[in-house]
Amino acid sequence: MMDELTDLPDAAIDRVTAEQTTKNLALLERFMNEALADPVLLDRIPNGATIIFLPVDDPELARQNFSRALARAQAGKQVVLQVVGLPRPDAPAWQPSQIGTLALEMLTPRWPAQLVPEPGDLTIIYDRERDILLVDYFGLRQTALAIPLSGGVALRIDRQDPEVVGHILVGFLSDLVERAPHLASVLRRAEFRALTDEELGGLIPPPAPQATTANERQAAEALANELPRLIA
Amino acid sequence: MPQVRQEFESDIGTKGDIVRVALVRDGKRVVAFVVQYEAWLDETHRPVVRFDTAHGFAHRDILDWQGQTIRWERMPDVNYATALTRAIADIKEEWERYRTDFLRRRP
Repeated sequence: MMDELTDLPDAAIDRVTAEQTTKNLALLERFMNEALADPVLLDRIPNGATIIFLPVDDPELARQNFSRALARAQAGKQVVLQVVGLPRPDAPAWQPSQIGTLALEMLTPRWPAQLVPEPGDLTIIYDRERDILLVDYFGLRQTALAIPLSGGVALRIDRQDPEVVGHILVGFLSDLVERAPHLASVLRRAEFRALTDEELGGLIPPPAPQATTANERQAAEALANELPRLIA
Repeated sequence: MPQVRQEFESDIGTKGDIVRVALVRDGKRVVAFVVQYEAWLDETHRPVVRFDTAHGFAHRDILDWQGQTIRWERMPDVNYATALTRAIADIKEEWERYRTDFLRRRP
């Protein structure tokens, strides 16, 4: 009988995969036991969702499962990540706010058909204290989520309709303008003020550099060295 | 309290296999359920074994390639919540054997 099986496709399952499967089934068993005792856990699972477990005490399995969750979400499935093995907070008042169920959402933002559709829609705000430049192409009409890319640049995306609505540039003068000096000209159109948390769209910027006597002296010396060349 | 019907699938990791769970709850009481192990074969999920409460009692169905029952047996008389978790425990212990036997029934 076993000889027949070796010719069957899909028959062979490596031991590592088999072990992971058994572990995932144990997590499902554990979750259902807990959820049937406390149906609030079930209420958090949307109907029709694919649930994938992240065990706190098995980081390697959690990593493998998370990779599969991303693949399933990219394939269009509604994926829920369920953390298993979280210790419950001691304080009963904190327990309802413990997060163990996370809906995984794939954002695939698209570039808008037209930038700056109306006159005055181009909004540029420079936060001098934190050296952050915000650019919005739609007059700040949409609430946006900021997605960091790299090199100090973040995309601002309309949360409701995943379309790019602008950018956030961190370290604008200290880094980006050093690399691309022509960007400094945008400051001519900029409003100079602190950016609000809503405008930052969830981005946590680095802390503002502290003014020190040393860096002020350095700035003064750089100016003093440059000015004679400019007025010559 | 109105009854709540809920369905979800649990990705268990073997080549796309899943366990599909559907249950009807009346508060904490489970009044009906289906727990079904499905193998990802030939680009589709194929039910291999199913535990459910159709016919008024919890039982296990062994299925053929077309999803028809070829054999069934009644589960011990316990409440449906216990039967549901026992169904998952059984799949946890026996999934490889169920899968292998199912492959043998491939037309």
